Amino acid sequence: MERIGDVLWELPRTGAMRVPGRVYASEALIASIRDDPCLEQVRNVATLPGIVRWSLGMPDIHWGYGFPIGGVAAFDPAQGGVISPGGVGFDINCGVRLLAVRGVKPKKAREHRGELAVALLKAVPAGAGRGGPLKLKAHELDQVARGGARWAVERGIGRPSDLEHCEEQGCAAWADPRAVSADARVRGAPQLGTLGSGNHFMEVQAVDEVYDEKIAARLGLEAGALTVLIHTGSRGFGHQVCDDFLARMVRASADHGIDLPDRQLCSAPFDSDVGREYFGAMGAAMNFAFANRQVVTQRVREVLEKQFGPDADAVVVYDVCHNIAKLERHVVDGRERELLVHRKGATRSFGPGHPLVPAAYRDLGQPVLVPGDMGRYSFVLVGARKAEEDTFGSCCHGAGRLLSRTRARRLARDRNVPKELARLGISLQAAGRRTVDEELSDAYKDVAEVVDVVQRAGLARRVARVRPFVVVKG
Amino acid sequence: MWRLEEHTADVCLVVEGRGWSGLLEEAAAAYGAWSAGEDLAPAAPREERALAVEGRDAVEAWVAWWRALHRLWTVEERLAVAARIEPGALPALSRARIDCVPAAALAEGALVDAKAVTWHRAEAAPILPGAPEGDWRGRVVIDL
Repeated sequence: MERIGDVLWELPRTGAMRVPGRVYASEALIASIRDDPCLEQVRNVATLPGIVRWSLGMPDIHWGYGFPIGGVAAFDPAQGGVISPGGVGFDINCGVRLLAVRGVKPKKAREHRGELAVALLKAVPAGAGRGGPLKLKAHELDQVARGGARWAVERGIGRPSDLEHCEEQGCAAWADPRAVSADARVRGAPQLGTLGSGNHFMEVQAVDEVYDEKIAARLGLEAGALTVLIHTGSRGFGHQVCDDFLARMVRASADHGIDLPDRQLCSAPFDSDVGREYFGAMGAAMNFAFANRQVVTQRVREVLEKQFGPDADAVVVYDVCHNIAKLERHVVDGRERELLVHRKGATRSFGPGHPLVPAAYRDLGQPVLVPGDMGRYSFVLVGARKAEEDTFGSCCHGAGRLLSRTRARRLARDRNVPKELARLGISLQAAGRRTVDEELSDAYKDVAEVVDVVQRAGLARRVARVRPFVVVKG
Repeated sequence: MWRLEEHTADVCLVVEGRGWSGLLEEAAAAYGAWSAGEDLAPAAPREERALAVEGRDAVEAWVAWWRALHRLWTVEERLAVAARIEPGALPALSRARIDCVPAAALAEGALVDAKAVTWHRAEAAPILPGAPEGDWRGRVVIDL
């Protein structure tokens, strides 16, 4: 591995690699992953047909299935480029939505944080397998799969302005529910408007540091402003879509003569029957996740209004995907090409002027939301044109785990994690003790280190830091 | 018998059993015990389901077995707690009767939310090479 920039490392092309690998990391982060299998995964991705320029790793890179988490790769369908479910992940369109709270005095919100936490957990079902009050009928599920967040807004669950501040405006237009299996539908039907468990969460936060006052003001993130961060995805619907297509893609890889260094990297040419079917089904799952975050948003609004009065409101700042594959136009060697960009545990980061950035933010760049662990902080950034040049418009998505779940539980055994958070002024409500122990702060890297790399690399710029005082986990 | 191995953000289960059939039976017990945190009440109501899996090799059949157990839980809402493998089971084709507990009988707070069974580091083989009648060991990673 060679250092080729301040925070950029290259894995030279060797063996079956079609392109080099590139990893964004500080010296300290590189030292922490030097012997981690994630670097081998960057090399493995570089062997896939039709890959363009580099196989990329963002600074929160860690071991995944097939692709590393924090992996980005673009493929050219016109040159036999592939689509890979492992390059998206099981939780299709796992992502984050940031709300700016209006009409609530921060001091009052903190004083009532305990009740707020209880109310939020009651309003948004969280925890293993938990379904919610919205039980979709078959035709409704199809509508969600086609319409995404728009489906919800058309039914009065939110406002049209919510959609303007979502990646893809909250709807993957290419979604095809016909490609979604019966099992995925059974799993998804009761789960719309739910959080899930693991590292999914809702947090109520306050802006505690501002790095760019002008941009922060435009986003509604002045110092002391209240925010809500929602982290969830496509639930069982998306998990099953990925699982169904992994099984088919293993066979398809063999049929298309694709050598797999790792079975979890199974893929097929984008321009093949199974490739296009997966793309359509993935789009349907993407829409389920957008609708999910839209329903959760509305529940948050209802809780705020009930707790703090009719003036309390929450405005969508932005909604980003972390696990996705999309057709995007990028300039490569001076020529614009349509590429299939896979982001697995990575966030889109388009700079000022990009036509896909909402009009309200186009002069600023796309908001990039990077959550940290529940005891520390998260960051809001804006995208940069350098990301479009160097990483297919991508950057990091979170902190990345340091400890396995088993080790985290062992560490937490003689501790009282909710009490520790309470001492920090954080009120925690969770569906189960197990997740809380597994999600303690010690289990994660410091997201500030990850964001620092992204800033130094010019992939995105810090705008504000937010700290939680209410945490809801599944 | 089963144990957890360290594995990043997800879970790695290592299972051992007598022969191919014993391995699958231990895996079914492991799935239920791990999912429910070993808090399954002895009096929890039981139902029976039939499962059949096939694979071109032992690893493929092993992953297929876990996927079948996972589907039983996530789609049919029945948590496997024990299995009886029918005589003559081989990786090529294995049939079984599964003892399972309906979701409604389980305390939600204790359960683990698993997304899917992965192929990652999947292994299934006799512990002593060339001794298929002896003990087998299998490993599976489940995405949480």
